[in-house]
Amino acid sequence: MAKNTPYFGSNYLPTVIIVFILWVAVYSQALLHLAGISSYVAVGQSLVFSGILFGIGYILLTSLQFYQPTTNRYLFFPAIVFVASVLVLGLTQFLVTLKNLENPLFWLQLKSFWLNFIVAIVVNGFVTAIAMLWYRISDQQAIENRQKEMEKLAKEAEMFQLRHQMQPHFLFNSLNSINALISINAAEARKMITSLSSFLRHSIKADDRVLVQLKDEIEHLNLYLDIEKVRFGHRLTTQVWLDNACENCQLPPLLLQPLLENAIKFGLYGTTENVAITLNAKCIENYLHITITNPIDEEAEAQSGSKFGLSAVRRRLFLVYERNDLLETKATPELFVALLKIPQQQ
Amino acid sequence: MIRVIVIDDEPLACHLVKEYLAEYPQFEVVATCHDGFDGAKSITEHKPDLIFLDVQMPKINGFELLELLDEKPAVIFTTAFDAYAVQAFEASATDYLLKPYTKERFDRAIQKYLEKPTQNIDRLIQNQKITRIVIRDGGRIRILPLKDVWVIEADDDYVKIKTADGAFLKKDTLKHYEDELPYDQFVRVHRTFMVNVSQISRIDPYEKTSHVAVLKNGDRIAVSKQGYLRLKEVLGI
Repeated sequence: MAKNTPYFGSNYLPTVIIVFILWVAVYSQALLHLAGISSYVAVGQSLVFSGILFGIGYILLTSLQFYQPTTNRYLFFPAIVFVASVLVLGLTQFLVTLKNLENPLFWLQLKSFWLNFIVAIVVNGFVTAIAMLWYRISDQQAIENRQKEMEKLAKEAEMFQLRHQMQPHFLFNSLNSINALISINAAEARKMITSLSSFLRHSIKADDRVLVQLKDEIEHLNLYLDIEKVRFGHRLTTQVWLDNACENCQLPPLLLQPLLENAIKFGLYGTTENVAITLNAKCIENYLHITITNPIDEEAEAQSGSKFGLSAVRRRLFLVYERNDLLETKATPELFVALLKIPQQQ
Repeated sequence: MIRVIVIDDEPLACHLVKEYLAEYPQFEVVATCHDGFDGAKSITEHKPDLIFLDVQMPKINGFELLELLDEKPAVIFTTAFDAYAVQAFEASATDYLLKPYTKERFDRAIQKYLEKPTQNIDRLIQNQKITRIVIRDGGRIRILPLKDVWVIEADDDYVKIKTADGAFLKKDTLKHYEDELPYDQFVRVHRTFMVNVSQISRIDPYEKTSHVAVLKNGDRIAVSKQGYLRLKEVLGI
């Protein structure tokens, strides 16, 4: 990121030259008026002084971006202005003497010296103040930009992590099932490898910032359910009811899978009976409503870790929509219901 | 004959253990179970020498199952992804198999068992905090959510767990609960008592230096000087 600087770049060069010429003209008039010297000497003195003043000013402007005191700022400011002004006056005196442009009388020399001194203090003070302020503002902007960038990265990382937190267990168990399946039913094992691959490919490819269509997401879920059915055999049955009208509704990718995984886990781990899980999608006003239900067993309540999937989904919904009310859950004695509401754009 | 029970909620995972084990004629699989309840029942019934045990299972998990057993068989854990839990039980279990595992790795586990078949898991060191307590109530297994537990009382080698439904005994130490229960929910108020702070209705002074906690059901629990300090800290008074 290029740093924004207040000093005049090449685009401003003509302006700077014009300002310089005007400045020299006005200043030589002032000297002429004050010290009553010949116009040749006045213009010469003005040229030397103004040249040095502008030069030192430029150095101040450019060098202050590399160093800014963090403490004692109020001492630093007069010190730098004073040092710069002394430098301007010293160099002016040196060059004026060198070119034989001194005032003829000492008290007149003193007069122009004081004028030079006051002008140098004012100009240097102005330039230093502008530079310090400018660089502080742009530093703060840079810090803010960096913070924003970091926040964005952190958000993306969090989303990524939330999406992938649930995967390893599922993946390794599936691989173990495939391992077993190879000697029992090689064709089935092959099918499962293909399903698992498609599922993983979709998961890796998914981008949180891009919404996907419900019908694509359901297709992906079916792969997942196929795998789970092989893993848990006859115990797991699923029903998906999809209102035709919401096929093209949009939602963040991989949002449903953790809910379904939660339902399966809750259902399967909560009971030893057969488990029927239903997913129901319909459009109500500007929302896509998705309901996922699974049976629960009262006796096995307080299953540790069961809430994880839900909190991850809730957090993702917040990161995408900045709302906390899009996922509701309720439990009846036999059923656990998760209701997800996804806002749809018109 | 070495009697084996395989406990895993995935039928295929059980099948794989049985298939690998078929090569060893001295082993006999007497049962396969797909959840923790069934597993506990089956172990009590068959008294196996060795069990293959999955950690994450329906109803109660592998750790909780082991806690229920008075006599524990040798255990080979089979688990998918619990790297840090694995470390915790590594010391006490015969072996653990990370799914998916190879036949060679399985053979190594069997060799380990054959070299030292009388491994006894006395105490499982779990890194995970306790979120509920599983106990045996006659022939039944009960799962007690922490909110329903009022008091845990030390009683020799056992702890007495008091709930609204009555008191249950479990072979365990109070120290274990002190280490693993959420510290802001259960406080060890006395050498022999831990109390669920949400069940305390008031704390009265008792004699000169000690106190007594009165529970919502009227029970009075002795609070030692040390225990009173801990209570004050948790309650923020």
